[in-house]
Amino acid sequence: MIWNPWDRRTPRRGFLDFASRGLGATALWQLLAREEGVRASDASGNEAPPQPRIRRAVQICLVGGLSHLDSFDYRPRLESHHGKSLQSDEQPDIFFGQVGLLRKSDWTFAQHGESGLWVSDLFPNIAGVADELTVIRSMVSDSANHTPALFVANSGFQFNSFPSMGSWLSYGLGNESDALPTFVVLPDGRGRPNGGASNWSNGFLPAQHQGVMFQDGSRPVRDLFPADAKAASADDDVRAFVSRMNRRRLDQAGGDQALSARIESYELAARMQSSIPAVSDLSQETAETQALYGIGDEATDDCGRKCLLARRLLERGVRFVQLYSGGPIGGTPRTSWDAHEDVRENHTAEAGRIDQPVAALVRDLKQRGLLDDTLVLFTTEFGRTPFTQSASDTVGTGRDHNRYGFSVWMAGGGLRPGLAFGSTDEIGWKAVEHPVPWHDFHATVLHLFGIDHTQLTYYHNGIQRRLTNVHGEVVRGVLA
Amino acid sequence: MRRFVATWLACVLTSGGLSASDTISAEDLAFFEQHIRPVLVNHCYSCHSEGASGIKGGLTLDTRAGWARGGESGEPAIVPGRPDDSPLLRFIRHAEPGMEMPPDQPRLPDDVIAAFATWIERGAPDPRIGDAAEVRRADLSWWSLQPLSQAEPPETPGLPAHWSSSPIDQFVFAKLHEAGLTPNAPADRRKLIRRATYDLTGLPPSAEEVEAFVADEAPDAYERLIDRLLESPHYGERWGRHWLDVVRFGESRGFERNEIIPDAWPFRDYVIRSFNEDKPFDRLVLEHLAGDIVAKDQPADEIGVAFLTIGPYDDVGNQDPVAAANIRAATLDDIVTATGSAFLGLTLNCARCHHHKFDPIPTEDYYRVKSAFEGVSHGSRPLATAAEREAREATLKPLLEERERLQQARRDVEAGILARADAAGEPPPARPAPSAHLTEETFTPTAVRQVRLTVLAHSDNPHDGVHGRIDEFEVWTPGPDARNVALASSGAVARGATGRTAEDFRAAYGVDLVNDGKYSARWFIGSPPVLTIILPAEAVIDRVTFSHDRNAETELPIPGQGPSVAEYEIDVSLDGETWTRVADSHDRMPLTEGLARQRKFRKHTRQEDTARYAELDRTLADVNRRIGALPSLPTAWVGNIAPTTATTPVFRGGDPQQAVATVAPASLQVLERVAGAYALAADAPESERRLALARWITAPENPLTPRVLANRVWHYHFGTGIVDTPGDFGYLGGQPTHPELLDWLASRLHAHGWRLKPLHRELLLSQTYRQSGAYREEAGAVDGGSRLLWRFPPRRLSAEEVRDTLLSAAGVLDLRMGGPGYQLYEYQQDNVSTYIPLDSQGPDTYRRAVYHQNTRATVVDVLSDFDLPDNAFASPKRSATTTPLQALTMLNHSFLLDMAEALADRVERAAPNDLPGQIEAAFRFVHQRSPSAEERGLLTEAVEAAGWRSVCRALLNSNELLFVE
Repeated sequence: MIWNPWDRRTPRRGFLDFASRGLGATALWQLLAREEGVRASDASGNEAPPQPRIRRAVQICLVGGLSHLDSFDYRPRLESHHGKSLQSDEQPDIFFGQVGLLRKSDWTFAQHGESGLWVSDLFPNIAGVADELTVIRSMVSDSANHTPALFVANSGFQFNSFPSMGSWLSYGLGNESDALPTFVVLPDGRGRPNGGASNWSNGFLPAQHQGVMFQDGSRPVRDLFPADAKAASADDDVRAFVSRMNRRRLDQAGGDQALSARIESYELAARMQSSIPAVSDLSQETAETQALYGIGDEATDDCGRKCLLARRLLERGVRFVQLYSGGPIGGTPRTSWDAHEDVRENHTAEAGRIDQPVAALVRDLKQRGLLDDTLVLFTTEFGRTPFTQSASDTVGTGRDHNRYGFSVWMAGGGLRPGLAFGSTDEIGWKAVEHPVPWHDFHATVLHLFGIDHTQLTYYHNGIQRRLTNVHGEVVRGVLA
Repeated sequence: MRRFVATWLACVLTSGGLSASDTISAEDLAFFEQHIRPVLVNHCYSCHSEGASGIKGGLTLDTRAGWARGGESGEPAIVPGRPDDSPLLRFIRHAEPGMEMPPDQPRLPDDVIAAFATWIERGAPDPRIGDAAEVRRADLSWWSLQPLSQAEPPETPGLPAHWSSSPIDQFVFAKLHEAGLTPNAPADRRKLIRRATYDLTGLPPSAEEVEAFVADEAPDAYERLIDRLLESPHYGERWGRHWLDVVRFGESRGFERNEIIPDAWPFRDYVIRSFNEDKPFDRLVLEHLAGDIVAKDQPADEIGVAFLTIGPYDDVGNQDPVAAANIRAATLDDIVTATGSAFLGLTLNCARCHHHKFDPIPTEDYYRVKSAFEGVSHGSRPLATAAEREAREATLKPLLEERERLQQARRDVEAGILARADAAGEPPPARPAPSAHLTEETFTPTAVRQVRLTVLAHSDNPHDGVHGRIDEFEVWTPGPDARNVALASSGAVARGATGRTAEDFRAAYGVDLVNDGKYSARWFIGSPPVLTIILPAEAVIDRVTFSHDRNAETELPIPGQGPSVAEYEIDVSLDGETWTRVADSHDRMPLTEGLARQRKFRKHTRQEDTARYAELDRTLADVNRRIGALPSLPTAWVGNIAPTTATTPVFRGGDPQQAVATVAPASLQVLERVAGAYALAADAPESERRLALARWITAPENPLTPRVLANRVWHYHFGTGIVDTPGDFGYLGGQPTHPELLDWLASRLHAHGWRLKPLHRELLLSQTYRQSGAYREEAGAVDGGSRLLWRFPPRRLSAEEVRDTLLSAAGVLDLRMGGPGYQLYEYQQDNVSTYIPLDSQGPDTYRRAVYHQNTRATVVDVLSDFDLPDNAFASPKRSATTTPLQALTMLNHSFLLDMAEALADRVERAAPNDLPGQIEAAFRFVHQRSPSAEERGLLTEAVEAAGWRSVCRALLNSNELLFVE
């Protein structure tokens, strides 16, 4: 936990002070109270927070829009209505505005595991862990446009400059590791998603809550080491000298907290310099583990490395890892799930990159006993339309954006596994049963972490801001 | 859409009324959420909730406690378990004459009423457990809304003699005394000059300045120091930067596209200049809100009105009028928000959808202020003096006339040609027009190695083929089993220039798209507009097909999807040298009217016409060159303000689709009792509205403006304001630690004619400011945040100070002021903008950080690490975090290494081959002092072990450098 030594609202200096004013890091306060065995309601009369079920989470973000109709939302009527028209006068808020004829899935659905969860053979490996999954088939979003849709999935707002969920978690729960960042981001090897670093921004939360991007190569974190080898060879000398100077100064200043915090930050930085290369060194893993994640195979190597890295980060106390499947939107060939032209071709290629690694991550967490208190999130910004993006009298090969209904899944502690929650209409266009907007999704994730989403607030320019704005209901139907 | 609107509305959260649903069963909860809450929200809340504009009958229905307590009648509105005894049910059944609810509306549907009966029968389980009786908020007696008090400085026993001359010290000492604290001794002179120099200029003093001040024994040495610093041009760079935080200054548009604004910097320079000139604040407010009126044609001051449009705004646009109205409302909301917080410390924006939840601001007040901005739009426009404008027009006018004469002469020639063409009366071409969907050409089977398409025109431009687009181009072998031999997959290669490149994705519009076998993406034709397909081997072909949009539903290009090939020639070749024409579009129907005309010209233009054209074009080119050579008027992102008398309705719930009563442009009701009032006609010209608002904000009776300003000045000098939420003087904001002192300072601002420099002077000359920053355990235990000022609170340098200081220590700081900013990122734009931080920050970035082009949602190295705020919002105060990522940047970023190297060079140059001299120099450059004997020893050892570069790298990481005491 790094703190701002001069902000009287931070926990080190009298957390009761801010708690009694109803400001600040209430979740952290509640957590501290819990650790001390206190389970009473706080001074402002709020109810006791929910029991935490998980301690850490990894989110796999599918950029571009996964077709729920071809993966997790089995709609038999779409099969029988293949080639028919939508029979609706509605002008849907899609993207290109072309409403073609209905198209059945290009994949075959089957029930899997003891739970009998429907998963298509787009994801044969993920289907193999069906009994661990809690699928929400009734997600809805505010936007059918990539950048705002990804923003809203990350921060609850369609605009940049609001803190992302990972930042809120960092703010609310602090760090479990003294040598790694709290919130780590692993972009797709093909590039960053639309909106870039805005997607993992700390917004108006203090800077230590920003997502820290890990990259490939010898410097996994920006400026972890100097680019210049000569400078790098002098690192130890420099650090030792900095430390000596700053300690002298601290002694003169009579133990000022701000100065000691800074010394501590350099010690932390030094620990990061050894822990980050260590955690990133996948050669520490056995050949079987590497093979499980698909490392070494061309299609799965990138995602496999990231999934394995995610597990290693979580094991070492990182609170939240966000992993992207999909690079920039636009261009040809596509580098995301944005299958406007040809779902079969696009989704085959994209799923081929992640199916095995993601399933491996779930299995691996499970076999290590970590899945009990870890949350795996598999999300996408919106789904795709049951009708094709084509002339109104043809069955095209591509599907447009669908914000009215789509699927995501969760796995891990506190959930009802093997469950498919909510549903879309017969053809999979719109969520009809238990529509779940992102605010509800976020409220649920916070709940699993033991945080009441209405209590995790931060004062900013006259407003007690929340991840869920003025919305959000915990999706109780998915909870154990 | 409701959800969208609600998301938009920056709403204050209430403590009650939200989810706390785990106390009732899931089944009851579902019933309530499905059948009860929607009805309450849609039919009852507008009169019976905390957000209602005037709660009817004292009854609230937005919490369980609200209906349990009941309204003015004193009896509960609902008796759980007893539907028939529940007044609410009787009212909605229309069983109580005179109390039919909802009023003036048909009775609710029977099934709704039945649902209420069932719900009450089941015990009225309600998850909304917030306590309505306990909503706490400010009313008109709130401290910040009172007139300025004229409190005399208190007399406190034990006041030291040197603390007795300044009222500031007397006020501060009184509070210390109350808390049982005593102030620190005065700071030593070195620390004092460093503190004051950073405070007023954002830069470190030079070693010479420190020494001169330390040695200056004159009693007014400190006073002269302060006067010198206040006169420094760097004062405006430091304090202007503070103000830029307050007014959410940013140099990109924000939101999804976040395009850069290249001409926002004149506003930054204006702010710096205004602070340096010590422009009275009431004048600054006037220029911010109405510079276009009060400083018309005086660009130096007129630019002040860019305050209105310097915030983020949504420029994506929307065809849907409902969405467009929401966007417009949000655009003006940014301006209302900024006006409320920057000048008044009011969170007016919280009253956009409902009355302010915590402050006595009715929603009408929000719209009263909004009415002043009805004419405002974002954008650039020329900004020049009347004389500059006139001079330019005087030169321009004859040139434009000449151009018009030449163009008319050209049109005359064209008319002559067209007349001849019409007289010739040719039959229309036989073949159909080329199609965006599919154009096909067949010809005699021919053996070829290369096929060439020359595009003469596309559907949007009859004169040129450049910028046309092709999704696929196919070359077919004869016969029933025709094969497309142009495919890249069969070894063919497409050659041609590309007219557009996407920075982040270079292949996005390339020529390879024409033979990839897919109709999805298009080649954007570049110059020359020629496509050549080179086959892997000789082949006999008899047909070519191509299209712009093969999947299109209609023949014509879809708007927004771009232009298709309209006039072309197709040639083939075996060797790439000799070409044979196999097809062209000249015998096809022309695709557009413009293309038809162009054909007539092609056919009927005579030699003398061509000669005449050439002559006219030569002269025209000369005139155009002269017009182009005239310097254009400078532009700035000052906004476009259209005169309007449009009235301003209140939007219920903030929803533009629910316009209710119109409000007149008028002063805020919340301050009427103390600050006087104005009211204009509802349709008063918008310019009058802005003027009236600006004058009212700085009216002498208005207590908020001087309080807020004085507090900001205090905040920047002492690290924390007397009110620690400088942009929010409402209920959720902080309470003043020294209310009388704050009012005294506010009154001083009035007395100084709204000038800041005299106030700075009074603050900096106080003993409070001049005391040492030393930490004392026992005082820290009482007042850890030093809010009572038992010491001068030390602070970490701000982001800009850190970077400026590194440059300054390295001796490479470029102090040129003003002008366009430099960039610490690579700007990439392709629909949405991306700002990639630079790995290496070169010498063009060595100016002060205030001149960095400060775009929104941008993370750059060093500055962002040290809490440069994302200026999507106003930043009335900054964080000062300490993180390991800062340490990594400060140790390892190439900018730091560059600075360490420059400092090492500077040190070595200062005393060649003289290590003790170099050590002395290094300390003077970095810390403006000589090293102690111990430090000398430490450094000697370190330099010998690791060399100057490494030692400099370490010196730049020292706490002494980064903190001001």
